[in-house]
Amino acid sequence: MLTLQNVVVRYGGIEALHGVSIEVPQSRAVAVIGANGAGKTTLAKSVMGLVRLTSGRVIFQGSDLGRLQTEARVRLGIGLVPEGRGLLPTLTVEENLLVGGHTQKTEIRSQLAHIYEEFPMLLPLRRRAARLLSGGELQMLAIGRALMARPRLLILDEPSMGLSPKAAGNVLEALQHLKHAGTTILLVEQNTNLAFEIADYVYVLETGNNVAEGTGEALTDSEFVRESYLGGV
Amino acid sequence: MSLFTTQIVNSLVLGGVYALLSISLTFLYSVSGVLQLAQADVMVVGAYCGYLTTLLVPNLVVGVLVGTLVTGLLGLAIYEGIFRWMRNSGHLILVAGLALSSLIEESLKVIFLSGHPVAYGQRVVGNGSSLGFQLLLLGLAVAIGAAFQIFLMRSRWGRALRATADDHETARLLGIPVNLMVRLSFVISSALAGGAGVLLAVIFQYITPFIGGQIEFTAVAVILFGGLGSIPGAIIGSFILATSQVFATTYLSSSYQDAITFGLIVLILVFRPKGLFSVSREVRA
Amino acid sequence: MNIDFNSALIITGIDVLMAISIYLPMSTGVLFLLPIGTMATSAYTFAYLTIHGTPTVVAALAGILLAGLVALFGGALTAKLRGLVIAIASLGMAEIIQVFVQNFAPLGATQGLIGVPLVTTIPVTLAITVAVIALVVLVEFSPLGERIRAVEQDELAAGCVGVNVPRLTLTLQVTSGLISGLAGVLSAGYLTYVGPTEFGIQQMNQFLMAAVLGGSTTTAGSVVGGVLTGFVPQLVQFLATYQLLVYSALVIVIVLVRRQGLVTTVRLRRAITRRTWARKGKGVQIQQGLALEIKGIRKRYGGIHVLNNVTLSAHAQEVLAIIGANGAGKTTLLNVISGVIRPDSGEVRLGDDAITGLASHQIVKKGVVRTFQNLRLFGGMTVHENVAVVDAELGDSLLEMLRLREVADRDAKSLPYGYQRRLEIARALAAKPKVLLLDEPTSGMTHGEAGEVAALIKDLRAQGLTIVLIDHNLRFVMQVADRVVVLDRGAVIAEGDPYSVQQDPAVMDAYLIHTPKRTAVSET
Repeated sequence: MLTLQNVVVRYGGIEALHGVSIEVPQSRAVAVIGANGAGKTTLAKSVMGLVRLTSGRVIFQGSDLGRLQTEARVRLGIGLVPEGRGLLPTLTVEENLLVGGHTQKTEIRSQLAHIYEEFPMLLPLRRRAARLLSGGELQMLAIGRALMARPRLLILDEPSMGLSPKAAGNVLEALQHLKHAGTTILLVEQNTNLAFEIADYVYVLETGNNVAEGTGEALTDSEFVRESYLGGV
Repeated sequence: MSLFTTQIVNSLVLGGVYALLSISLTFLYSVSGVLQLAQADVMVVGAYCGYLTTLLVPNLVVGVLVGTLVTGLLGLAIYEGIFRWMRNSGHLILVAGLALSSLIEESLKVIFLSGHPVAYGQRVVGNGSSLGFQLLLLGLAVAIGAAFQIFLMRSRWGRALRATADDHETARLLGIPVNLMVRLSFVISSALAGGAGVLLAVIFQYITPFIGGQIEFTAVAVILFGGLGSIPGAIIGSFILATSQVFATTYLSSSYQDAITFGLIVLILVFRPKGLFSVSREVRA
Repeated sequence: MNIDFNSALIITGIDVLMAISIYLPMSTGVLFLLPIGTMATSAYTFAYLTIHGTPTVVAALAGILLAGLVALFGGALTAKLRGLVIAIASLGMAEIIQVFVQNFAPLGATQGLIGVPLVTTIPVTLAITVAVIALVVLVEFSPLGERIRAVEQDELAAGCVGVNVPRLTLTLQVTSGLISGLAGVLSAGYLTYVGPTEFGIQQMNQFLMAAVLGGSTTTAGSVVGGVLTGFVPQLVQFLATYQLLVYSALVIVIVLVRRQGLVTTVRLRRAITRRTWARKGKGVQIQQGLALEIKGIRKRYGGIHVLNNVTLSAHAQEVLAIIGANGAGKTTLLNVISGVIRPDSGEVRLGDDAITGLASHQIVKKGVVRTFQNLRLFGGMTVHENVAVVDAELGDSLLEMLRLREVADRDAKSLPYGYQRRLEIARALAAKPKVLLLDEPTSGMTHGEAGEVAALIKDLRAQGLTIVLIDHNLRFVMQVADRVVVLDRGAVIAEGDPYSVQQDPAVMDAYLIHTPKRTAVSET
């Protein structure tokens, strides 16, 4: 469904991605893991057109996205839940969700009802300004908001960042649910547990390069990955 | 009617007009990131449009409509001609605003006979100081403000504008055409200022190209101490300032009106640098 | 064409001085618009005194001094303000001065004062203007100039490498007051008249345009801008009514075409300073490290204890690593030690000195210097300049030591990540620390690069430095640390040598990733 071919991104003399290739098949969950500064966020942004590719290609459902504007990519069915959750602080929870459905001309209300069903914790908060939410509530809101546009591919950038184990567990549950419902997921994470739990296939990124890939089990057994990302224990 | 009541009504009317200009400035700033220092001159253009219209059709409401329309187009021209090319230009954005302000003033001076004061005819404003007429002005100011507020809070595009004001990148990720929103904010805010200009000209009872310069500073100060980006702050700030000005003129002397204004501005900014009603756009820890 | 060159020259001189008086505070990023008020203060003082028989020189000095005092007061009052808020607050103060002179009868109210002696001649104006320009250029090309630019780039980081930011800003504001005072005297002595309408917002706008239009990063910009606003309008006088119209259109065009202003002198300045300073070439000296003790530190934000009675210490000349999950309070602790935030209670001691509650630049002087997790370099300055902010006489030896010499003349922000991290360490070492605080020094590095940093840290320790570091790269921590302290939710939960800490079950549970059936929270 989504293919990155030799993507290179360079800004201000710094090369953030040095030719990364990944493949996300339809209705699967793929994770990209790596440390701080490995280029994970740049990768997510390059799919959305928020950073310009220096070279390489991003192909979605068979067509090269080229220099397509972010808005157009959203209309094509790609959604990103950004790092830090992309808070719209002065809008209420419900307004956040409605704005998430901006590209949808019809059936916004029914989709809204569907989201409340999916994330019942948001319903009692619907009139509250987003800036007053806790980290866990915000993450749910951010995911729900992205789903308002009915994306075919959902990208999540560090959804577990800064969350308590319980809230991170809720995120995991929500993602598993989405996966079963057939949404294609690209998860960009530092939290290897979450990534291995959900993903069918995992890529490891280090300072802008693919350094390893495989299924969760294969990577857990790999000496190299254990050393580098699992704290050497 | 007692002097005190008259003063209250006057403060409300003046405050209402200040509020429209401040809302226009603060709204434009929060969506586009541009503090447009020539906005008060756009307002004066609105006043002249109202004046010309009422020469043909002696009706203030028609004047407000035409003023709004023309300044909306002017706003678009200002964006396309200047500010579109000035992202991340820092202090230069302020300089561009100042130069534009002087450009508009000078153009008006050339068009309107070296800027001799003109006034709306009797047929339009009648006895301009009557209570009924003051209430009409207040009603018009409230109507313009309310229409804007309803658009912003209830409509799909209003919501998209507010999302853009909160965070450009997130808005983009939700499929909102951010560049269009910025352009739209120039059109809407200029129209708002233009409508306010027609009313201001009635309150001042004359128009010259220079009345913009006199209130520009006040408007910027109001939005700063109301909290940059906060519309309620801009409204309350406007009424505080208008009331203190009206009462200072009546009970002290008009020459100290400005001293009161500036003293108040400095004090509030020194002790509440984030404004009285700052909008927290920061994420809670 | 009939141009009065005499008055054009004098007006240009005054405009240049005023542009400089706005440029000076602006060079630290502060838009301070009081100069129009201080200009009025000095012009009125000068006019009043000379009319009442005071000798010209005494009257001029009194005017300039008073202008300086007003700037001191205004600067102190607005010290905490930044951005647009300080611009409007300072302009408001200037307006109060204008309203005062407009209403105060002894100063002629709206009529102003007439009969000021004509003292401003072309030689006087030229001499004063050239002298002021020379002085300001000298500062711009000196190490002080680097510190000023560092404050403009990043105030917090400048404080954390030892720049006394409040004093520097206030000094520039007072100097700006004095220079605008000079301009005020020249103006009164040229027009032989002072009136309130000369000192309004319109004039301020004009001077602000002069300062920004020419290029707000250099004195030369103020000179060019002053000539533009002072001289050019005289040249286009033949346009009569259209004069201002054409002029403002011209300004808009310039602003659109040259977004950085008309002139910059960056290359010239760098060529000169690089050559002169490199010649001094002092070597790096690593100081003998002191012990750092942290006792009972508490800090709460909105009801949450970010630091809850943290007590720990780094012995002299050891490497202490602080680890912990996201939100454990590590960076807050570093902020407390380096004076960026004040603790609610508790004490930080360096050797025998209590350093709690000192400003960050004072803590740097005592010998505790830090780096930042999210890199706070002076991005628009070169590698060499980043170090020169701290110590201009330090030669290339430090850059050599951190393998930065070949990129010495590149802008810091254009460097690859690993280089930027090394530059932060170089900049900190230039401040001659006795204790070096490193906030995530290997974040974003490859294993190779992290290995180099590890070697560097071991080397510094061998030379006697005390090092406290935060990192999430456990392999790196195990490699370099003599001791490890584990923070969890604002409290110390374990302490000891790397191996025993790694085996501690409490630590495994709170921090290490691979505990089954538990979704650990990752470090960022």
